[in-house]
Amino acid sequence: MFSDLNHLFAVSKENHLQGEFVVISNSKADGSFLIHHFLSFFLKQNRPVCFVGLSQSYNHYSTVAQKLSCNLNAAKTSGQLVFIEGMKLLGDAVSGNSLIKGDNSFVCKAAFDLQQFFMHIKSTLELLKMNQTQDPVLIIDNLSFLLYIGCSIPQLVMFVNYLLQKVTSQCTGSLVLALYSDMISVDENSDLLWKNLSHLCSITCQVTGLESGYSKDVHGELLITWRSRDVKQTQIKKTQFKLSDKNVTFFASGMSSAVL
Amino acid sequence: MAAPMRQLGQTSFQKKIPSKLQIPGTKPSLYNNQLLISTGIPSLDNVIGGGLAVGTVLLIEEDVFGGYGRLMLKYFCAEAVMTGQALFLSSLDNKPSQILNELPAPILDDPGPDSEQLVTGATERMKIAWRYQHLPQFQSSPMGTKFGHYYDLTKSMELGVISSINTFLVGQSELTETDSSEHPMNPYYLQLLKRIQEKIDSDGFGTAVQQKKRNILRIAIHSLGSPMWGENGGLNQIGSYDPSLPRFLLALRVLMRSAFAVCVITMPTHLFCDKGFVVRVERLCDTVVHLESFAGSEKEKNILYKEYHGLFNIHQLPSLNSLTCHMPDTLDLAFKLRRKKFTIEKLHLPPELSETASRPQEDPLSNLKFPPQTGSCGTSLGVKNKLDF
Repeated sequence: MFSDLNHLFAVSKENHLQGEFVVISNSKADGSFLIHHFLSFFLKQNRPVCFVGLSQSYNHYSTVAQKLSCNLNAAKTSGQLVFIEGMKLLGDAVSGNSLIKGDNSFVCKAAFDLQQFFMHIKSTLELLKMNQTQDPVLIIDNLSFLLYIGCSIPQLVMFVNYLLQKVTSQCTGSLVLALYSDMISVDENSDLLWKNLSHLCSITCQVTGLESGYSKDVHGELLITWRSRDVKQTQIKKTQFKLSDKNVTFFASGMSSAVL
Repeated sequence: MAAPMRQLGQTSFQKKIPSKLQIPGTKPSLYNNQLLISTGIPSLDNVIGGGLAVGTVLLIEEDVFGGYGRLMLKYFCAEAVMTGQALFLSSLDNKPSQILNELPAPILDDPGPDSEQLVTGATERMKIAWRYQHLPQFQSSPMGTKFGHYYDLTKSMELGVISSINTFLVGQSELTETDSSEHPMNPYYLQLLKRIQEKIDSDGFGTAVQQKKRNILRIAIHSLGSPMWGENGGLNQIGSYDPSLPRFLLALRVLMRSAFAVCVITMPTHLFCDKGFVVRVERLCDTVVHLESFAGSEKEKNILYKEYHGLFNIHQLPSLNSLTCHMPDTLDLAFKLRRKKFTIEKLHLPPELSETASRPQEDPLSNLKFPPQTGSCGTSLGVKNKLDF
């Protein structure tokens, strides 16, 4: 959890990002720090979290969370965190060396059956809501991997719609999705997925590389947009960031300590 | 903290490397404590943060004729021989045994620094700072085996040396068995995955298996995704999206994460017509580098590049068990090939010393296109003056 980032998101005692749908897009810069931030942020709020890891193994998330002083193993054993190792399930299904158990029947024929997968998440969320007092959170890192392995755009958009309905309307929980998208539209399908999701969501976070190219001292730009029904209330914050081993520093564009 | 991690035993990304676990040809990373192995090209190791982390996949996007990509793969294989690690080599474009026979010979005639240092250290008594005398000698390579070797490209490695390590070659004949016709994936990729899985299981490279003597499995796949593999740039026969290659890479990542193995793939990505597909493939690998050879291109004649044989771009570096990845000074590098050495260097632009615009590679062109105009303010007698505008 980064306190600077909480400041950017205007987190306060009243605002714990309940009922928000956050979409994080990565292009030419690594925005995974946002995912790690949200994971530890919600766990520290004592919110029950369902995490779907499609891009990295559990150990990766666990080690990074440790650096942010958050213990995933403890959260897992206490039932606060349900970690779905999507990457491992999928990889085993592709190489065909695992017997798909009843619990994980959404992985079939080297792909995800999104309908089954939704049912699985739904039952997980309901279980979390029953056992824990607060509203559940669903985090998926990274939705683009589902696109890469062959899920179609309409399927994915429908899937997200169902999730949104389940998480934010029925449970007043929060939904955080990450995906890759190239703003220069090299990959048209990723672009289309991004447009569809940003149409649905309430907060978008765009992590992009610098326009001027690679820099060792400025790792990228973060653009946060709050969308609301009322056009006048749409709010935008733009900042540049630099990652370090355990922290992220934010500064206004062109105000990096390397420049000044 | 260490106890629950070891219990899981699922991944090779162990944060702390147990001190007893000493694998020849490896070293811990200075940045994030990952276990690293050398690519066989020390200058490349430097650029990507010390070496390849165990459990990751390196993708080399081949140059147009594929020669340099193949060379880098040979270095990777030769390093396996020198460090005694196991090697899994697969190719459909060439015979794997042919690649194995063409490995460059190591340069061994450098004076053994280890032994010499030890001898002088033992005989010479310290004149000052004598209280440090009984401290153990500093050893630059605690594993015994050197990390990263130099090779002579003019000679090939002796077959006897190669046969000393555990090699496993997978060519056309090993990949053509078809037992699962129902599977919706490219059969070659599926068979290759099965072979890798079998190799990891049979020789105990998995992290879940307890072993007294650990070793690393190096997996080298040559020209994956070339037409020989039946790849069509992510499109199937009827022209719709074929996710076989992304699926293969995802499954490969899962296999690598739970094994003491490192995979290097060369891929002719310039053959894929959809650039979006190339981006997808890159995202499914950990480290991605791109080669662009000057052979046959305009850049070959460019004076700016006369020292080099091609450009070397880093497209992606992995962030493993940490928020950040290794951040090198620049991602745009160049490579050159000498008789004995393949090196990757920073691409130095010639310094702008003179005050007038003196870019020899641009001037001739601009002079041809725009002959000196008589209407401009200045002397315009062919000699450009500082005051001309």
